[in-house]
Amino acid sequence: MFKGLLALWGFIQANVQLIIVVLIGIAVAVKLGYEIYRFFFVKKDTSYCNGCSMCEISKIKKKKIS
Amino acid sequence: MRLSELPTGEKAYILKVHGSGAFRKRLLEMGFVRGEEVKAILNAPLKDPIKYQIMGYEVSLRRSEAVMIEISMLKEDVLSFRPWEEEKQELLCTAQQAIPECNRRQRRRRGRFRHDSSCRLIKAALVGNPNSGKTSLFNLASGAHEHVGNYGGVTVDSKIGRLYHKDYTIELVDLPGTYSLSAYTPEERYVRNYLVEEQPDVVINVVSASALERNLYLTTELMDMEVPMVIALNMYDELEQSGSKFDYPALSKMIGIPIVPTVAKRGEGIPELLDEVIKKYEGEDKKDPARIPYGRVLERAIELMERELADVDISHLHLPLRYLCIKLLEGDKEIEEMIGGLPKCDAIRARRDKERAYIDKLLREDAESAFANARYGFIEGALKETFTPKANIHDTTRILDAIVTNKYIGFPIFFLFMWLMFEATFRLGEYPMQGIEWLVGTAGNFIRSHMADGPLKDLLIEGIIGGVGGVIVFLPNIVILYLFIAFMEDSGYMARAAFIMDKVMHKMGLHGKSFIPLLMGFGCNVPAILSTRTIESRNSRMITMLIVPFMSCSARLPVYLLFAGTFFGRYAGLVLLGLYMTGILIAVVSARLFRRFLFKEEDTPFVMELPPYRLPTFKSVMIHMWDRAYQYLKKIGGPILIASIIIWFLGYFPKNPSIPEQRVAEHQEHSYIGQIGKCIEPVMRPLGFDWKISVSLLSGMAAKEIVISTMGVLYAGDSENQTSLQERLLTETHADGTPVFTPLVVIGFLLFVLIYFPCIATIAAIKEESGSWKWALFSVLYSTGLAWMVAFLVHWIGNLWI
Repeated sequence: MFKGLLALWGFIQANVQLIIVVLIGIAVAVKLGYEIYRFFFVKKDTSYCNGCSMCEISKIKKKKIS
Repeated sequence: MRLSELPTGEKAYILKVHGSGAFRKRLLEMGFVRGEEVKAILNAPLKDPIKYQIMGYEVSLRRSEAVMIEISMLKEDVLSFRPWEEEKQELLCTAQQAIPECNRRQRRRRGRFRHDSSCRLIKAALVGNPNSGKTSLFNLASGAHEHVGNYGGVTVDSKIGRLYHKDYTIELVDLPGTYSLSAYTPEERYVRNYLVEEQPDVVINVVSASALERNLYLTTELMDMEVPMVIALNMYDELEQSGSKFDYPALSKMIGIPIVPTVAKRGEGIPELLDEVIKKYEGEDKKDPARIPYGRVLERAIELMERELADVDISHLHLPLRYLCIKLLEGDKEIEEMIGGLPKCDAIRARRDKERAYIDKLLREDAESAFANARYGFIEGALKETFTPKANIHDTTRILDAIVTNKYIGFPIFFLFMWLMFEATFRLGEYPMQGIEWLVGTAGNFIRSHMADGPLKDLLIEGIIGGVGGVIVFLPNIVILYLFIAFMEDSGYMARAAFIMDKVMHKMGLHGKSFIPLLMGFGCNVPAILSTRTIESRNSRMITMLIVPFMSCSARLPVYLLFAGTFFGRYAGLVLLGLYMTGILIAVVSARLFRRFLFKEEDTPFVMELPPYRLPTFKSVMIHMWDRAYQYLKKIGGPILIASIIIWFLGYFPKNPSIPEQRVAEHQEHSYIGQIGKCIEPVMRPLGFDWKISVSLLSGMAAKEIVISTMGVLYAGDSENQTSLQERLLTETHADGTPVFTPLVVIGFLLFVLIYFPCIATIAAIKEESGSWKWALFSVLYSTGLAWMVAFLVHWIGNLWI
């Protein structure tokens, strides 16, 4: 058990950069997946700028009346 | 005689407005009513449109539209028209008195807006003419940074902002500018529906003091709707400076509505305005709003209509009976549809037709004109006692207009200004850009020398610093470009640009108003597409929407700056101008094609107000620039960072042990991104693009700045030092040692970036505004196909030439 933990610690020490990169990769993949899911499946409020928040217009909550 | 024949500098009086539909209605609303004095100010450089002065403000009309207005140089011709004159005299008298008989009705009506006094949230809607300063007031009062401009049509939807005043929370709703509440244009319908369906607690009617008579037209319509209202007399400083005298307390007493003078751009009068809003909400304002008297003939018609509708339940329509009758008599299509479901609707229509015929017979004009005349008659009467105008109110505007819209120097000034804008963007931006570049390089070198080798180090240097750093260096250029755009918008020059360009727009089959969305497109294509809503004609709207993506948005600017600066040296400013002009040219050709093959039909009228020039405030320009810088940084920290990391991952993995670590380029070629690039390379090869350029263009579909960040990652090179992306691009070679970026490839690449669709958000905006994926897909295919074709022709013809 102790040996196993030690080996794991050794692996972490040797591959700390790779582990961080993998974690960043997972976070980015989750974010990307979520954005894709949101784009296709979440009914968002597209009444203003189609939900685009790239410029100042969408900074405040907007409301559309049909 | 027709208005188009009126010589420049001459005055005449309006006799009749011919034509029909929305155009005629718009003319009536803007003050082209019988008896009104109109003066021809000047012709646009291409002789069309013509600028006229009416009711103290300036408006431009095309020659072909001015021909529909009948005029006389003699005032006697107008006065000799007895039936109308009698009505008008009656209106002038009644307007100067309070009208007590309406009070009972008004009180009853107010029940609709009754609120729970324990709730201290006030919903206030800002309603007013375009360019009356609603958004400025909204920004100042609510602390928001909404986009404002010295031209109409900047607001195309409603925005909500909250503010706190004297223990009350006021929810301000900024509605699009509108001249009236009829149902001809999308904004008019939008505002009216908002007032009917949402029922705000208080309506703040923003009235521009620089064009009182025309602005009060909308006030009369709001009075007809019997909404609880407070008037914000905006731009009051301009009125005072002009030397005109306005006894607004007297007008307030006369019409029974509180009037508060404000200067929205400086925040003057806003606390007082909010005090009045609270008073109105709490019912402390004891004044009863007046009812607009329409004269004997129209009042009789309204009364008979009211009788017809008396026993019909119209409570579900949420409209006052009198307003409903007026709109029915005016021939409002939407109201007519509303009564379609009522019992007795045939009888109501029959009565309406009978009354319209009666008005026609007695007043010798149709009901629509009669009501517009009556409203302006009431306004004239009300202002007669309270307002003393001073002639030549906008002398500076006139002098400046004589220069910037001059037939010989108007266009050169326009192009000079454009050139200056791009040259300054490039040249002035170069100095801070070098500073940021140095910072990025230093950060890269610091990590390179202080961190142990490994994937995280590579991610930081090649992925994040290489990708994000390549984009961030263009921040100063973006800010400078926006300084110029803010100046153009806030000063009023944008509207003049539309004025002088109308003839060109007309030749393209577009409306002069299309110029505003197209100009807005230089900032961001998404709001530009949304602002096409202000164009009444669907066909013109669709064409404008489809050509907006050819306007180079600020997201494309970093790509231009990088390549023009790297490969064209001292001619970079000209190349930049050339790219923008090419975009405009492609838009012109496309518009012609769309008009010919896809959207035939009608020609659209050009009625556009030309606001007086105003010196932009330092604060508003700073807000513009700061907002743009903030949004750019936000974009860098969000999608661009994510895209850079993804591209790096795809370029870093899978690791091939047979390739040495130092040979980054070779390694990338065998990575996932290399395989994707190789997959699409056959399509792009005829354009001279290698797989890295192809991948950059593919990733740029999300947002154009990502083209740069992708290149920053892909063209990482094998160098040990952090070098700028420019240097890396210049030294990039094929396997045989020939440069990747030959002049033909660079030109083809820049044109490709210019023409193919700007981003997914723009496509989604086209889908939303056109109401169909069909047009969104068409835009993608058309722009990408055209981009490929143009880049191919450049490469092919260029190779033949060289």
